[in-house]
Amino acid sequence: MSNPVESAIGRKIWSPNRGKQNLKRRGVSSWLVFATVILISLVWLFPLWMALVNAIKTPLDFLHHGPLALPRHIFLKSIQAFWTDVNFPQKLLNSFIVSFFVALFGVAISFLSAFAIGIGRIRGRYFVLGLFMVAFTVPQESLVFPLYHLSQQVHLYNSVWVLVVIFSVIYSAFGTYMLSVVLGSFPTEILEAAKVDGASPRRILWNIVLPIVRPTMFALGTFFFVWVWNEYLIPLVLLADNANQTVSLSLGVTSGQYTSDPTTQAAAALLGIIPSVIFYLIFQRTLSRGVTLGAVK
Amino acid sequence: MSTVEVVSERQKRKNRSRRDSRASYYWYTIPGILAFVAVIGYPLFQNVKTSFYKWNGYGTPRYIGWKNYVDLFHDATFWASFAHAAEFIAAMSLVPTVLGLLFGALIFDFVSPYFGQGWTTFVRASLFMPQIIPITVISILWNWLLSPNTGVFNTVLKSVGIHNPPNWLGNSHTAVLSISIMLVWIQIGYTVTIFVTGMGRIDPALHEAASLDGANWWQRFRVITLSQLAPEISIVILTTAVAAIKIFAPVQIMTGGGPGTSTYVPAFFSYFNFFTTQKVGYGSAIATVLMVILSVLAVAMFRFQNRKGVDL
Amino acid sequence: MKFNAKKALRVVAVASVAALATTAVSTGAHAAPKKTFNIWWYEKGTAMATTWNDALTEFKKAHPDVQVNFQLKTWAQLQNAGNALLSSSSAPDLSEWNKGNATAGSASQANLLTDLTPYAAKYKWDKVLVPSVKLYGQYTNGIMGAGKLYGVPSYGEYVSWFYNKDMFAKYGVAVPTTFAQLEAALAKFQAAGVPPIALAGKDYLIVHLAYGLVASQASLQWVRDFQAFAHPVNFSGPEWTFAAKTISDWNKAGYFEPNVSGVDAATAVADFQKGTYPLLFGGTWLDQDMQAKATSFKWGKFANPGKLSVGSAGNLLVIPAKSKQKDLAAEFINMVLSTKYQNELAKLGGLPIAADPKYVATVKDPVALLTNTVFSSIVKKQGLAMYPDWPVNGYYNNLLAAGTQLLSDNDVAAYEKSTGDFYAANKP
Repeated sequence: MSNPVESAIGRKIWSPNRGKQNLKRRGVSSWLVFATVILISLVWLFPLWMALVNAIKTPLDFLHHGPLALPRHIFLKSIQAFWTDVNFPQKLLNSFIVSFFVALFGVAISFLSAFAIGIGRIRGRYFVLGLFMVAFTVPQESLVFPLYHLSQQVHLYNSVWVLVVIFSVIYSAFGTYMLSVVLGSFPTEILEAAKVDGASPRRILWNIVLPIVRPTMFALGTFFFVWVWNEYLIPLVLLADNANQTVSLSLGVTSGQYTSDPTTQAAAALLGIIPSVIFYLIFQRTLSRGVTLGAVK
Repeated sequence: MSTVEVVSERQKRKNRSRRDSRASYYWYTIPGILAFVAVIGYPLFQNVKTSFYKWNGYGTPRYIGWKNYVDLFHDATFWASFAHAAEFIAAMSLVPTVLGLLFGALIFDFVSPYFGQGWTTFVRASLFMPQIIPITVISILWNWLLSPNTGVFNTVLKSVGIHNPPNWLGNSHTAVLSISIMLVWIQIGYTVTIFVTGMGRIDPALHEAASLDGANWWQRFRVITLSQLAPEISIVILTTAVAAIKIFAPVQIMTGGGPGTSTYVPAFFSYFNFFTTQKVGYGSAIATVLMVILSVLAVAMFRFQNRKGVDL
Repeated sequence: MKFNAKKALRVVAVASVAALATTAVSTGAHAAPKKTFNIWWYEKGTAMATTWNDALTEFKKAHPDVQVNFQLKTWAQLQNAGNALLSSSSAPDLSEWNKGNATAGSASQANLLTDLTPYAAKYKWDKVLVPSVKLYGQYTNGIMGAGKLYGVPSYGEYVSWFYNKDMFAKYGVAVPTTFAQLEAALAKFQAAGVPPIALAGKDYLIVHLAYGLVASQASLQWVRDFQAFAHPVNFSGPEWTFAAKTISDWNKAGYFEPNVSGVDAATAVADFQKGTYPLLFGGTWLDQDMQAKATSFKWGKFANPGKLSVGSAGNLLVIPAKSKQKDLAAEFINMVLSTKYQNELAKLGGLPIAADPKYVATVKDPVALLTNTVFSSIVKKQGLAMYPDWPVNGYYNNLLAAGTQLLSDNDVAAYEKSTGDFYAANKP
């Protein structure tokens, strides 16, 4: 905790070295709790294990031994077939572009609005926040038709950028709410001092607020990234060409109206999960750190 | 010059500067509001407008006044769908909140201090994993778990001597429960993540003092952790409850509303009218009612939360 | 913390540059400006897919000046966003389309499809599209059966019983030709401790079994009433009641898998393919999968005893109203209908509508033979009852949910009421 301001608002969470420094002495009860928690974790991971096991089975192996058995031998054809059928690298790139820019723009919009609400305490802030709450509560399927016509008019239909625009805004509703709460609890002493010194809102934003809430924004961005990666309905309607489609849409190739092949599905499932898992593992520390809502009492 | 005067002079300057700058803060809401109007506001207005028309989505809409709403209030499926949504609040909001607090506290108070960072990361990553899996993939995996004769759940239940295990998704009495179990599995990651982080900012001195007074873990959890986490709890309940009432994809993919109409929920019902029966006007009416209910609920919780001290 | 974020960003940046490079290489080939022809279908791994692919190869050779862009779409996307795709600026020049009132019908009503009547005249399609086949592409006010030609069917499909020949032999059961024989066969298996029918109550198999039983009792007039609203249909009448009651009786007698209402299609099909159950009521779309996986025993097919069978012409080829290459599209359709590719379809185990009968007679492939023999027996007998979910939009969901419910509580009256009410509430 080198940053004094961070300590000042009580973000004393999760020093990464905490475990290594001095672990408490383990008694029977701690071992019991540990065993339970690990067991729960394994239960939680079990479905992923099934995706892995079945993705590398032959169809006949699956047919005769079911989804639980271990593969008789490693069979990678299902994964290869799905990879080439849907041109997976292309889907990966599309998904990445959409997720990355939604995270970027979504967080930026959220931050600006939340800055006005939480720091600026503008009059009518409840109204503005209420407006964003509507965006957060509106069911997506009711937006699909109007957004479809709108995207045609502005020539963004069938482009990944239409998703960037739409989801940045939808998610920024949630982000504004979250960040407003965080910024609402920003230490008033610091702000008052800055204002007395005649700091403009722009300087307060850049030099004081932004550095401190950056981890929170990063975490919010991670949430956005993962959420938009898994969006299905709006991409399904707005992206006509395969070349523009995302990973979550490509999974649809594995089932027809009446037919589906379990091992191909498992392969698709596995390929669909891996990027998110990698992404999570890279960012998990930020994620664990930044979602602190920062409310100071 | 007396100190009083100095103070009041400073106070005045501060007030003035505050008022001046307050106005300039409005500029920062402009990107958000413009984006909102274009992407949410306009479609929303279209949606409300469409709800007064009979329309299949592509031809010419025909104005029919309040008929869609009148029909809606006489539609038993619509009301039943709200009852199911209420059940999903338990599965997506209440149970994950309670379990999230409990797991979170176990992780924070036991795994982390006794077993270190590595294990903590492992546990948290495992619990968070369902959050990052596409729902289409989740449905494939959970069908293997819930399949009544060959599924994992019933294989396990049979092996421990339960000869007549539930038919999960195949029975209208257990279908909602089955989807609920899946939703708990999905949602825990979100609640645990937020709560564990929240626990990080509770002053350890509070726990230490309580320990010295002889409070055991459960007492400390109840008295200190729960009260200190009030803001996180209310935010989690608000966001997950809204998500629960909006629940759509898990239902569409797992049961399509069946058996019978036992798993119909409002958002699915609205989608069904938009895309499947192509009664877009009626679907818009459902979506409008759903949105009004959700907004009222959100604002109510918002105010409650405000009173509870989540300051803005 | 900051270091991690930066490092992570760097990793991500490198990855995206690598990915961009890959796409650049893969798209580099399409540089030359040509006339483009966009064609979509969603057949995958079927006889149709292979045949159409071969036709497309020939088509490309015949038109070196045309850049052909083929996309393998998904059934889900065309089902959920079909009209949106057709009315968009990205509509294809030719596409496979789902048949029926809710899909092709609704698209034709919204003026999203080209009337193919002039092309039919030009290429003399009437020779191959006999009225009983052509009607699947004809729609008036969105209702199938007559009127302008908006889509061209090019193959057939039907639903019949798959049976395990080894098990039939083992338990001394003969292939039934009447409903009484079928029930006797089921009882015989059941008595021997073998539940006879692999069925999925949670997926489409129950929808088809129920309608198969309806069709076995129904007249062609009833089908016209049900599908095209010629006269009101009584959902408590003999046809519908027979089906619901038979399913409920068979369920009570234990003829289906245990917990059948929760079983999904993939599991039920697998149960048949493993050789656990002797019977499965399934469509021709399962043929290729059966051939690949039902390898541990001999299997065959027989038509459901009774008057009509579930089946129809297959999916349509349509030319969207926004197509920019309508002539090329029609030319491709004409290729698919040609004897050459219809014969190929027969050879691969598909159901051609315009193959040369002499050629079909020479096909030796057992599955192709089986499929075509059963089909000709169905056609010879009386004909096809189409599919139950065509009349009204969203009927499939209703029939499935009601069917699942019927299997879980055996309530015949509730099934009839649910399916009848939905039909009445949604018919045009």
